[in-house]
Amino acid sequence: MTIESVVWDEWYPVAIAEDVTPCKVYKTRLLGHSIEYACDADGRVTAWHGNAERTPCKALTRYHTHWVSLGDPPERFFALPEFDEPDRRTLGGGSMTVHVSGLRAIENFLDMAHFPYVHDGFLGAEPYTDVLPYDVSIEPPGEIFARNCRFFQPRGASTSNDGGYDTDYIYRVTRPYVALLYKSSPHHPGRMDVIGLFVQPLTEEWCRAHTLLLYLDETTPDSGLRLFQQTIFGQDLMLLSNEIPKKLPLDSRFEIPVRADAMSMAYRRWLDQRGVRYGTYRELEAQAMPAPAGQTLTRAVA
Amino acid sequence: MSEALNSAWFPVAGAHDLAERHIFAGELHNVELALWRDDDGCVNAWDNRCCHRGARLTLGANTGHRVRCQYHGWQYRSGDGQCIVLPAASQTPPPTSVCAHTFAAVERNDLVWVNLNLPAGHPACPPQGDWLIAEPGAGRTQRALQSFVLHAGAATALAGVQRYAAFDARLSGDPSVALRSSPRAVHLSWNEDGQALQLFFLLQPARTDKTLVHAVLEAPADAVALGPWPARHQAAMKRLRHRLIDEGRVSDVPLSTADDAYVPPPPQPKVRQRGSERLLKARVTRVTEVAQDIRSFELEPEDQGDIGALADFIPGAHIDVLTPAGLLRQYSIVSAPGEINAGSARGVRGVTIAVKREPDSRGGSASMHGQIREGAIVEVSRPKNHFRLANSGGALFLAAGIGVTPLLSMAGQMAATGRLHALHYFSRGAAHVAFRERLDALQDVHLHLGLSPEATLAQIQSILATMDPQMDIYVCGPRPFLDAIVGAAQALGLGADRVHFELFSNTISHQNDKPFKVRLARSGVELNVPVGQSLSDVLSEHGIAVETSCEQGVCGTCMVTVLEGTPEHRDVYLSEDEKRAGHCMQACVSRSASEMLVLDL
Amino acid sequence: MITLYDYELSGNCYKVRLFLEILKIPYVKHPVEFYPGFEHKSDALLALNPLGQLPILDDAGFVMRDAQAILSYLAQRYAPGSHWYPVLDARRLGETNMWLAFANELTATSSAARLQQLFEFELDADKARRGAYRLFRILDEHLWLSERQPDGGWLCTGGQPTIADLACFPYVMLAPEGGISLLDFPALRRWTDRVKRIAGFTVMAGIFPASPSRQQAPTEHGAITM
Repeated sequence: MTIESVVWDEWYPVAIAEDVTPCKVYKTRLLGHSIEYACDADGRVTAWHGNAERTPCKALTRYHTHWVSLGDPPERFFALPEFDEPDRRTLGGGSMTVHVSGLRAIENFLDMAHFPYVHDGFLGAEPYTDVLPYDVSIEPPGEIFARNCRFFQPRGASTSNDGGYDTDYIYRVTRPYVALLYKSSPHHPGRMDVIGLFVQPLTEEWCRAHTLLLYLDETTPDSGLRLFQQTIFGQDLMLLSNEIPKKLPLDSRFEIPVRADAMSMAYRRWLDQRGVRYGTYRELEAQAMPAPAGQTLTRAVA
Repeated sequence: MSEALNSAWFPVAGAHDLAERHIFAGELHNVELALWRDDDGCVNAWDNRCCHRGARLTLGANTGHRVRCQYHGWQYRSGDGQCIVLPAASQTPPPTSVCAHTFAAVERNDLVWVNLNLPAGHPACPPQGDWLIAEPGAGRTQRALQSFVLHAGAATALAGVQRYAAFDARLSGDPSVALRSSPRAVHLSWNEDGQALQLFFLLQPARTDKTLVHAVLEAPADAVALGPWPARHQAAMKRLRHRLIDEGRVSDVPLSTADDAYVPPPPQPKVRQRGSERLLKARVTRVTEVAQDIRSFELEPEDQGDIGALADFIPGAHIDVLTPAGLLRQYSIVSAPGEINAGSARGVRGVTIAVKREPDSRGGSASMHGQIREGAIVEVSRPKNHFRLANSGGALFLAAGIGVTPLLSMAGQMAATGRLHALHYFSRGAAHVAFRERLDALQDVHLHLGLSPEATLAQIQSILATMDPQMDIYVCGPRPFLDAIVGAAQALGLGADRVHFELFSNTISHQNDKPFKVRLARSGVELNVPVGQSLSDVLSEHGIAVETSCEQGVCGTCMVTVLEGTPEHRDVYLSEDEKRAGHCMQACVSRSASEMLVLDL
Repeated sequence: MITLYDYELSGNCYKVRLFLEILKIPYVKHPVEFYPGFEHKSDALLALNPLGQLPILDDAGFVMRDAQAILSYLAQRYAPGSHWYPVLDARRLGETNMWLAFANELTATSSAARLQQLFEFELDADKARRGAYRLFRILDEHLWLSERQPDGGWLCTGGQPTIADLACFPYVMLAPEGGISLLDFPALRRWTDRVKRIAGFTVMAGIFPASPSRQQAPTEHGAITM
C-alpha cells in the first residue's frame, strides 16, 4: 500500500537510548517494513532496511530516544524545553509492544475518564469520576493542547502515599504518533513532570510504545520511577489489546464521544484533517455509511 | 416474520453457560458476542463492543442488572441495552444514542439461541425444521451437554459429527441407532437400558473456519440416565476430535482469530423502536391511601419476558404511565431499586409510585384515583433516570408536597450506603404527609407543616444558611418552591451546580434559553425552536433529517451551515475561529443569539 | 517480616502477592527490575536464586524460589490445616500438586508468549501459543466436569480453592497479552470469575476485579454502583 506523506515522511522512535547496547544489531518493523538499527561505540545510531540491499534510512538521536525515518522527514523536531532543564531526571520507562493501532495508544494516553476504572487506586478512584470541562486548542505550529485538566488521584506518582490530591494535567499532541503529558509534580509544587509517549507503528495494527520520563524527583531511584510507569502502562495494555477494531475509527457515529472526550475528539479530527489514513479503520467506506448531511468543511468520512 | 430473518436463528451457548454475574464470550459468523443473564434470569445477547471506544464488553462485569464496561465504567442495562450510567458525566443522563447493540435471544432446548438480524425484544419463534429439534415430548427433558470447538468449516464439522456413534462405547456397534442429518444438525436416537434416548447435535458457524458443536440429550424426565452423560459425552467428543485432527480434517489449534479482522454486526431493520419508548404491561398489586389525596400504587411487570424491567433504576427515577384517561404522565418512584412489593403474589421486583389527585386535573390523576384498583393492568415505561444523586458528598433534600416521592427514594439510597443526608418535607398539614414509615427509616427528617409562602421562604433561607457544606441540594416540588430555593442559594453564594432539581424534561438545563426562529434556505420553510427543544429535534419533527450521534455537541455529526444570523455555540467540537466565523453550528445543542437563523437546508 | 523479591508485571510474583493478601500476611516488597534492567540476573539476585528467576521469598532468613513451592510453604506455615494445601488427605494433596505442576507448564507456554509479545524476548511465540491453547483446553474440559460436581468448581475436589487455583490463575488471565484468547474456553472463564471472588483477592496490572456475586455484599459507593 502507498502510505500517505504525512505518515511516511516523519520520524519514528525505535528505542530509548539507554536500552540500546552499543555495537549490537536490533531488528524491528516500521510502517510494515523490516528495518535494523545499531549504535556504534560512541552512541551514534544508524538504520537500514532489512532487505538484501540494506538500503540506509535516516536516523538520529533526540530527547534520549533513537528515531528513524523511511522517507523525507521535516528538518524541525518538536520542541521540548524541559529536556534541557538541569534539575530533571531523564529516563525511559521500558518499551512495550501492543496489538493495537498506535493511534489508539495515543488516544488512551490523552484520556482521563478511564483513570478510576483502569488505574483504580492510582490515577483515579470511584466516586471521583466526573471529568470537569477543560480547554482544547490548536497552537502553533499545529499542535493540539488540552489545558486546565484536573483529576483527583489517590496515588498519582510513585512517591505519593498521603491519601490523594487533585492533579493538574496538560496534554499535548505534536505528531500523529507522538504525545506528551505534563502533570503536577508532588515534590515541586508549581512545576510539572513530563511523560512522553513516543509510539512506533510497527504495522497498522501493531505498535511499540516507548515512554520517556522527565521527572523532578531527587530521591526515587530510576527503577522506582520506571516501576510505577510500567504498572500504569500494564493496566492500559489489557484494555488496548481488547479494543476493536484495532485500527482507530474516525467516524463519530461508529464510536460515540461525550464531553469528557473533547481532547480525543480534537485528536481524531486533527488526524482526519491532516489526511492520516495509516492505522485508521476505513472499512466503513466499504459499507457505504453516507456522509452526514449539511457538511461544508472538508471532512473525510472514515 | 420473513423467511430470511427466521432462518437466521442459531444456538450460541448452553443455558448453563450463562452463569450468574458472568459474561459469556461467543462468536457467530465472525461477529463477537457478549451473552449474559441478569439476576431475574433474562438473557441478553449483545455485540461484544462498547460503542464508546470499542472495548470488549467481555472484559467488563455483569453487576446483576447491568454490564459495566471496564474502560470508562459505562453501565448498560439489561433488556434494551441502554446506557444509564456514564461516570465521567455522572449528573447527566447518557445520550439515548449510547446503547449496546442488542440481538434477539431466546432460551430453548436448554440452549441459548440468537438472531443477529433482529434486536432484543423481538418475538422469538421455534427453530426451523433444519435443526431437527423440537420441544421435548411429554414426560421428557432436554439437557445441553458440553459444547465443542472444531477448527474447521461447518461442512467438515458436520461430516465429523455424523461419525459420533463410533466414538461412544455403547453406541458403536449398536445397530438400533438411527441417524438423521441436515446441513446444520445431526440427530441420533436409540434405546438404552429400556429407555428411548436422543442426542441432537447443532452446529454453530462461529467463524468461517470454526464450528461449535452443541449437543442436547433428550431422555425421560426422571431419568437417572442423565447422570453419567456429561462425562460420557465429553469423552466421546474428545476421541472424535482427536481422530479428526489425526486425519487432518480439523486443526488442533485456531486457524484464525477475532483479532485478525474485525467484523461488525449486520445492520438491523430501522423500524426498531427504542427500548426506552416501548410501554410494558404492569399489574397493580396494591393501592394505598398514604395521605390526603395521595395514593400509592405498587406495580410489577405482568409478562414473563419483562420480569426484570422494573427491577433496576437509579433512585430519583420516574416512569411514564398511560393513565386510564389516555394521557401519558410521569410519576416518580418512591421505592428503592430491587424491592419486592408487599402485595406481590409472585415475588417479582417492582416499583411504588405515588399519585396526588389534582383538583384541576385534565384527567390523568383523576383517572388514576378513580379507576385503578388492585389487579388492574396499566401500561408503563421502563424507569427513566434523569434525576440523580451526585457521586460524592452528602445530600440535603428539600421536598414540597408530592415532590417528596423521588427524594424519598434517593434518601433511602443515602441511608443504605451510610452517606450524610437530611430531608426537609414541606406539607400543608399532618394529614398530607405521605409515607411515614419510609420517613421513619431515615437519619435526619424535618417536617414543616402548614407554612405560609413567606414562612416557607424564611425556613428555606434558614436551612440553607446552616446546611453542612459537604452537601448538595436536591429539590422537588412546585415551581415557586424551586424558584425560592434557587434564589436563596444564589443569595448565599452557593454554586448553581450544587442545586439539583427534578424537571420532567429531557436532559440539559434550559434555564437561560430563548426561543428563536429558523428559516430553511432551500425550502423557504420557517420553524420555531421553543425553549426546551433542540434545533435538531425541531428539524426532525418536521421531517428534515439531520443525523445526530453524541447529542452533546462533541462529535460534529449534526453540523449545519448557517447563512444568516448569529449562532450561540454550546458545543466543544468547533474551534474558536470557527465559532467566531459563525458559518456553521451543531444542531443538537447550539441555539441562536439572534432572533432568526437562516440555515442551508 | 517476609521480604518478597518482586516484579509488578510478573504473573509468577503475583501468585505469591495474591496469596499473601488472601492470608493477610504482612510483607515487604523488594522491587527487582525484570525489564528492561534484567536485574534478576544480577550477581546479588543470583546469590539468592541461582536460576535467575523471580519470585524469591525471604522469611526471616529462610530463602525460597519457585512460586509454587513458595505457595506450599506459606500455606503450611501460615494456614496449616486449611483448604489451601490439604496435606492430611493424600488424594487431595496429590491433586493439588498435580495442578501446581500444571502451572509450570502454563509458565512455559502462556507466559513465554507474553514475554515475547510484550518485551520482544527471543522465544518461539507461535509454539508457545499453540502449547498454551492445548493446555487451556485441558483446563477447560476438566473444569467443565468439575462445575457439575456438588463439591466442584475448583481445580481440585473438595469444594474450596487450593493454591493450585492461585498458581494457574495469572497466566490464564494474562494470556491475551501473549495473543491467546480465552474465547474457546467458557468453563475456564467462569472459573476465573470464581477465583476473583475469593475473599481477599487482589489484582495486578492487566487483571480487573469481578463484580460481587449475589451472596457478597454490594460495594459501598453511592449512585455509581447502584
